[in-house]
Amino acid sequence: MKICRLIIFLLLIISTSSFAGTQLKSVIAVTGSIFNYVDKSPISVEIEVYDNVGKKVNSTKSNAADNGYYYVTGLYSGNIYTFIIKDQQYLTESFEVSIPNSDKYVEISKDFLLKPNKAGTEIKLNINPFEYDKFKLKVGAATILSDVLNTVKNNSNKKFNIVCYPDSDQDANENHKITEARAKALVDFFELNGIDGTTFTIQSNQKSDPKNPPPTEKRAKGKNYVGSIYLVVN
Amino acid sequence: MIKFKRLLPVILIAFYASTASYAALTYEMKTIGKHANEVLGVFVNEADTQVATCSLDETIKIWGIPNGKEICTLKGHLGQVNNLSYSGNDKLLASASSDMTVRVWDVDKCAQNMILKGHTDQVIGVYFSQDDNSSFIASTSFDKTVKLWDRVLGTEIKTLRGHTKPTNNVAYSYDGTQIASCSDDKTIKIWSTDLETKAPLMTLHGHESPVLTVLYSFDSKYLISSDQTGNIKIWLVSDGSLIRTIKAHDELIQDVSIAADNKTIISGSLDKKVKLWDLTTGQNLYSQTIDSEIWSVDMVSDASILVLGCADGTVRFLTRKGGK
Repeated sequence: MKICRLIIFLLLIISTSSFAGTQLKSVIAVTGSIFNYVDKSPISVEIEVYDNVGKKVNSTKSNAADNGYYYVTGLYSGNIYTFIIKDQQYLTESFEVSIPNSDKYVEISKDFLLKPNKAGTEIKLNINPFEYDKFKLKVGAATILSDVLNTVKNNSNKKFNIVCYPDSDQDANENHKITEARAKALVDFFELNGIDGTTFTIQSNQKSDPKNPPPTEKRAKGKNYVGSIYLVVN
Repeated sequence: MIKFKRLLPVILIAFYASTASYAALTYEMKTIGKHANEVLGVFVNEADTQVATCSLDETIKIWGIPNGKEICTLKGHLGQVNNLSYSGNDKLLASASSDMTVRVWDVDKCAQNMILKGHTDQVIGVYFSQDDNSSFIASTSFDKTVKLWDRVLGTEIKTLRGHTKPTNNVAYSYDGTQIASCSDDKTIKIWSTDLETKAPLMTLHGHESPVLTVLYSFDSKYLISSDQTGNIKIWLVSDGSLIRTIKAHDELIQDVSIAADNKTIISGSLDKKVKLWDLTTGQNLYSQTIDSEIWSVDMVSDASILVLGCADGTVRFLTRKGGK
């Protein structure tokens, strides 16, 4: 009987200590919204969450009716997770989410944008990797282009047309040259990062973007103009 | 006519009184240094010993006050740097950039401390909480959101939605209870800083063009805003009522600031004018036209030095003649 009690006591100690071990890392929840990259409308899509060894640890769905809201919990502080979002209407995306170190429960916020995969979809680069009147990629362009590079990598079956518009309507010949050089610089960037060059076609333009023309009046901060660049889904 | 004759001395006295303080203020302008491109933001620290400037050239510079000597240049952003804010203890500086990040810099080391990623478009506004621990940072973006970041954890903890067009700037109230954001949707929204409340506490209507900046007075009683058509509006924080509109400039006003007296405000505009105003009366105290468009303004606590960030890349000090 004494031996039985001793075994139960030991088992209790072991189970308590292992429970305490799991509590060392606090649980974190990630919430946010998922939007259509092009029209910024909220969307409903499946989200799968993988840990750093590729094990699926959670899945959930965003709700378009609730402004694209999603909620993922059960993530541990100090870890890095990959959120993979697949949907028939959108290009597959993966996003790395670093969970901060914390000794208490925390809710952190992350929004994601998904690019539609329908042929003809124009994916405008939010940050221009070129400076005004230049055709060489600017310093730090690799970081700026990392989002579209990931998109292209995650959708190797898709082809894209790179469309560049000029910064002004002053000189049509010059505009053709500069936009062609920009498109080629982008193809070079993708090839350097392991993407087959045949994934892309290019389109230069002599006139500025009709959907986003150069300003005719003084613009407020952050609204200075460089010609638009689109990745168009073929 | 008789009535007018009787009133004439009164009108003259009133006119003299209104222009007396205007005439009393004179400043001497000096260019203290230059960025390689337009200077989009300036922010004077709490101790009035430094001013930080940010630019289209993607850098931040820190300058000494009152000597105007350049202390260091901070590099790291991959796009134009749109705005800046010192932490309440002056040890950290937060910057907002078109590269979609907020960055935190260690002022003493002149080094980058943290990159905060999460906005999905250009970040235009940034403001540190003014508590001693500098715990939180608020930011606004063309992605229409206001984000609140936990500076210690280095992550975003709250996303505030409600603006229907890009948000332009943000301000933290000095009592730490509120954040104000302004937008191209012509509104100002007031948000709670507690982590649970996500709906705006108030939406202020009154501007008839995009609202470009907002700022709380140091006593958190007034909110000051400026817009695309050159108007400044003064709001009462307690109930959101509009108490004054000043037609201040002929072009957009990207920046305003307030002195420690919670009364004197400064405005700078693309009409190349810098002006001082009495918030309580709307009276113009000082006006100066310079040879460049002005993107950003700030001043030391007693308004004895005004700092201008200009479109020609210059950073200029206007020092009050006759000292304090």
